[in-house]
Amino acid sequence: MSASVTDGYARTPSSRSLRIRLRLGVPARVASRSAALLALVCVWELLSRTGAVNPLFLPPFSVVIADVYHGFATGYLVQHVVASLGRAVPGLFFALLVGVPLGLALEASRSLNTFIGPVVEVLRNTSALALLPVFTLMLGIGETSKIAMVFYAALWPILLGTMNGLRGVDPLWIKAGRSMGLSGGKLFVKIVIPASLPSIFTGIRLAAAAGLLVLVAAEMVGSRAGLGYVINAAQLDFDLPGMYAAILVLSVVGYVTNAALVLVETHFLRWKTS
Amino acid sequence: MTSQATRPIRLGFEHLSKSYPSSRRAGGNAAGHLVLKDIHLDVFEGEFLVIVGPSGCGKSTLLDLAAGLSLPTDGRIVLDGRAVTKPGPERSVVFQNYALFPWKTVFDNIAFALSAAGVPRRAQLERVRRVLALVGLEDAADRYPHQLSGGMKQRVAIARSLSLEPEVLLMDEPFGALDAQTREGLQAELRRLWRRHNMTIIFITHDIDEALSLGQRVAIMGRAPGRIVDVVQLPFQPDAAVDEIRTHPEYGELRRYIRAVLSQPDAVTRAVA
Ligand SMILES: Nc1ncnc2c1ncn2[C@@H]1O[C@H](COP(=O)(O)OP(=O)(O)OP(=O)(O)O)[C@@H](O)[C@H]1O
Ligand SMILES: [Mg+2]
Repeated sequence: MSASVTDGYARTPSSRSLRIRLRLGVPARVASRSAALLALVCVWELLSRTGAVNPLFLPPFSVVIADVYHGFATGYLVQHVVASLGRAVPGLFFALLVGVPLGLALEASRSLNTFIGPVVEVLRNTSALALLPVFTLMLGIGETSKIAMVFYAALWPILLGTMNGLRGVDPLWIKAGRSMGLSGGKLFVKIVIPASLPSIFTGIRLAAAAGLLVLVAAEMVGSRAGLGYVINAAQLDFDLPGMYAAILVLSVVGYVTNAALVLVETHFLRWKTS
Repeated sequence: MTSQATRPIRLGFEHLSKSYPSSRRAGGNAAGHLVLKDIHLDVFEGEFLVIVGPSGCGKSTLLDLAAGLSLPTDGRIVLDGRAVTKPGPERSVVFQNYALFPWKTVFDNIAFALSAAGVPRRAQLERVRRVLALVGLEDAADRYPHQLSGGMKQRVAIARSLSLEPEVLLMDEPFGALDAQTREGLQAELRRLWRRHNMTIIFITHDIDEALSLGQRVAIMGRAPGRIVDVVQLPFQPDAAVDEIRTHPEYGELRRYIRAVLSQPDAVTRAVA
């Protein structure tokens, strides 16, 4: 009876055939993706070389990439990337440390939610950028205010992602867990958390993007280090290749950050995609 | 029927009522929305009791109460002489909507229940394999629930409960999503398991034929409020095959009777057992 029933359903590929498919598929995917990027770079180069766009304002890609190389070779850009990451990572980390438990607490307690809820709502709709001067006034122009900015910008997506995730936990899973004899902490760790993880991860990715955005702005306004500072300083010096070099590096940092988070996410959420 | 007077009671529903807090939208009154009203029923040791009833009459609510997942508003449930207040390892539930964890593979869904029950890791592998073979899903062990059909999920949920080797098995329309062939196979398997392991089973269905071919007694419920209208003792032998049951001279009459009670619960004249 079993064979006849299961035969009708498409079998998922075994892990081996999946690996083979991936091995064939990845180069092809990389090729098609890089083709578009390559085209963009070519257009950039041409626009500038032909003078369609003033090369003073848009130096050719080749010049910019040479500047990136130079920046890394001398360690100048490395130092600023490290400075930016040194603010983004702790900011994001603290946001995670506060956002997830706060989200849990707000979802767990209705009275807390009605009490703090409106505050959260007002604060999260207050742009972090608008608060930049406030942060600077309160915390100075040092690292603390930058990290605090990232923290503030990253907190809300994580908080909302956590609350969303908890709201999405099917009561039936809780029932099943309870019927198996789980309760309290175990129920929470083994069922509530894994069930809300997808939404929390989405929150983290949005938080990373928001954090980087705000960080660059903060670095532009009041800092002596970081990619935002480099972009701003280079522009003031009319070192446009240097400015574009920093922008390019910033894009790559953002892209890599997101890709890394996606990688972690797909690892933990294999069950959704496989 | 005669032996039942001496059979020990495993699970007793004692004048059980359950209401949910009324929401004004649903038109409830201050006392709440009464879902189950004065349910009184004894389930005997090793009995296979089937509950049939129309949709929304409170069958799942009743099973939740027996599982210890919610508490009655009035009356109580007694398991081996003690009031049920929480879930216990001797009871296992097959939920109406499978209740599989989507983030775990089929294997891990079952192993998770075994871990929760304190079965050592080494013994788990063996047990998971055995119950998956029982429901014909050996090949699906590494799949995630979203890669299974509804019927396969149902079979995993059944396997998960069986792996716990419960003394009391509570099943909420467990064969609802299966095709007729698979359903009959699993019905026969469930009867075999029941006979072999001396389980007490409460089985919910809305399918009269299923009720007749599985149970020893059939409790018929009515709706609004949910109540037990009649309990019918079935004349079939515990080891009778489904075909024997279906061709039994009383089958047709029983089937008609249960149908009639379900459609017109207020016209029942027979005394409630
Ligand atoms: N948590 C709840 N809060 C309020 N009302 C509920 C709740 N759970 C169930 N009910 C109500 O109780 C009644 C019985 O529900 P239940 O799920 O027990 O029915 P059922 O007999 O299992 O139906 P079905 O055959 O469709 O599964 C329904 O009217 C439902 O609206
Ligand atoms: Mg139900």
